[in-house]
Amino acid sequence: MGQSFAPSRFAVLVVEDDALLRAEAVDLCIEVGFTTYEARNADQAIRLLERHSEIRVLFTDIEMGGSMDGLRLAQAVRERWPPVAIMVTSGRRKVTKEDLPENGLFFAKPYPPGDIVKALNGIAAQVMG
Amino acid sequence: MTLHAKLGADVGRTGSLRMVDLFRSHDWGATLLGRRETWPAVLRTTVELMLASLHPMCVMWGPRRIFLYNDGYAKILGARHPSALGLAGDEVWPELWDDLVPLIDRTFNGESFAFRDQPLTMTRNGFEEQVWYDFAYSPVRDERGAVVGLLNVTSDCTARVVAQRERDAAAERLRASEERLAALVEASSDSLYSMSPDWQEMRTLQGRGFIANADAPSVRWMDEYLFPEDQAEVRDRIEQAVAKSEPFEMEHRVRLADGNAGWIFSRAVPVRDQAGHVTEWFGMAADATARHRAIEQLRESEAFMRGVLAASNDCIKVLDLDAKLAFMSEGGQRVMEVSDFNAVVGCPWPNFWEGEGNVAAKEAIAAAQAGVARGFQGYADTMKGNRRYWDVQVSPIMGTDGKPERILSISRDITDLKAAEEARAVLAQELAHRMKNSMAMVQAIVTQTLRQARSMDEARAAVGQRLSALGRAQDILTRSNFTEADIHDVVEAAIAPHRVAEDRIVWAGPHLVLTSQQALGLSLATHELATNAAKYGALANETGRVSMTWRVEDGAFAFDWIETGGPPVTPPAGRGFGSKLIERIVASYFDGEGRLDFDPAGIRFRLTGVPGGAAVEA
Repeated sequence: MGQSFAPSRFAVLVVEDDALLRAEAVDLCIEVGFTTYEARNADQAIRLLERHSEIRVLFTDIEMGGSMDGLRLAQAVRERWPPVAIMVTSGRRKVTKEDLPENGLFFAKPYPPGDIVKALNGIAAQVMG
Repeated sequence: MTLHAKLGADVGRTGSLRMVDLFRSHDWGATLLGRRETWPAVLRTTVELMLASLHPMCVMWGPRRIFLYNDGYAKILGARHPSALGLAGDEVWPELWDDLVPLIDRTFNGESFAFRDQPLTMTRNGFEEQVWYDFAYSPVRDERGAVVGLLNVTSDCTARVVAQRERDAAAERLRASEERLAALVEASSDSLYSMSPDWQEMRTLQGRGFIANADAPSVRWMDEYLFPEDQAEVRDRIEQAVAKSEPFEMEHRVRLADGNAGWIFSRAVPVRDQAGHVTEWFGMAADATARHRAIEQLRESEAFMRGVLAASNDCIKVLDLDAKLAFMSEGGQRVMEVSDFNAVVGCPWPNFWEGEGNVAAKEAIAAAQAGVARGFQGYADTMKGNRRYWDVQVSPIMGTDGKPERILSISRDITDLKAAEEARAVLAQELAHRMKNSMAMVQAIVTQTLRQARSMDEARAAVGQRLSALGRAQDILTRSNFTEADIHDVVEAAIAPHRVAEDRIVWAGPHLVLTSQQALGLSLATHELATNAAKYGALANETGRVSMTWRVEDGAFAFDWIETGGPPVTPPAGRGFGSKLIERIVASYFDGEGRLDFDPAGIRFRLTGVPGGAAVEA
């Protein structure tokens, strides 16, 4: 795989209300080579998506303050931006395939960083495919 | 004279004089006495006297004991009359003669005899009847004093004998009756008593062991046998009985022979004389102490059970076999908020349950009807419509035939328990989440530390210290259910491992509640600042000082870390995780900003934002 895609055309949006966890998730994505945006809630995330069309991956926590939680955000993103790949994480609940938009991925907290890296690279490969 | 008048009335023959006629017409010449004119004067006198008497009399005259008699005696002779007149004695009484001769002879020798109550069978009135006669034999002497005849004066004493016999029989009956009564009294364990007509005086009392005997009449019997507090009631009942002359009947308390209180069932009837006046009251009293104690114990036991039922906050119900409500304990009515049991009695009990509870209640009833106990839990409303969660046990109440007779249902309000259980489940869920979150934070701290570390040793020390700071903050949060903490506690715990001398690190500020994230963040920031100060700042020499102050002004929070007296400060070449933590991450927890100022006189850090749980999501 590697990093044979243009970062400007391919970005990840990290949505996480805990600043520490968000900082680590952002670092992880940057480390893999993605342009990375961060939001602390769904409302900020929607605003970023509206402004940055290069966002192709939504990596969101479920439990957050604000107008909607991560699962509703994922549904909303799938409806408004169908091509955006969905990655969801939670420490609270077990999420099944039925809770997620089609092809959505779930990672239980705390997640192994390698799994995230692998998933991001997989998505990048498909998008670039 | 009464006697004669009575006899005259009985005999009633003074006018007929039949024997006189017989004597006149009898052919005396053909007898041993000869013609009447030839009779000695004493014989004529005796005969005249005899014939004139209303007493039955006979005469035996001369050596041949010639038999003469009057009207009265004729009846004694029965069939021998009238042929017996003038015959020799042995001809009149051939069958008795041998027995009579000695007495007759002795009379002729001058003795007198009297025989009382001699039984005879007479046929005076056409049928045989038993009669009794008195006989008196007396000699009749001539003018020279020689005994020439025997006069037998008799009198019918049947009436007297019969009366006597009746008296004897009556006396015997009375004696037997008294004996039976005595035996009855002896056989009975009841006490006997007799009272004066007005009950003022107790005349006798046989206590039969359980109450004391009264050997002498007493007017103080009430004090002797009754407790003061019972006297009025007993007296009332006595007065009623006396006023109406009706039997007295009462179960009341008495002083027993042993001095203790006992109970008697007492019944007395008035005894009247011939004129109908009450002469005394006769009564019996049965010892009812044991029965009364048993009843009292039963009552106590019932009261006890009632008390238990009333005290219990369980809703204890008895249902008919068809599940209709028949009884509900007082405590049960309380918890079910039943104001009028009559409004619910007879209602089918499963109807109190809705949904799953209704199904479970019906199943439990079916099981109880089949003789099996069953329990379930479910929601049901009280009569006032308050929703409660109940733990229910339904059991059959077996009859003497071993078959279910009724159904016992005990419901316990476990609404609070249920709520606590639910809260516990929520808490467990929350704890699991927080634990996951903590692990995620640990993972982030470790990963971030490793990313910035120049060596494994440095990384090991930094990870250890940062996790330790996180742990101390968790300790404080644990006290408050993980949701909040006071800023004083947070600062004190965070700085504790770094304190050198008492006065070199000081802090001041108002009490302020921080959210759990703010508490964790401020702990980590304080730790980073203190660690840096110990290495390069105010705590690296012997004189430097650190001051922490915070305040809230117009809803804005500000925290200042100010170092003074340390070695001169030179800004670091690069920013590590520590800087990122205190400037960006912790500031985010306060929805504010963090600014690190490398003033040569000492490092300063200012954190601004929104205090407490009031953090606003942007």
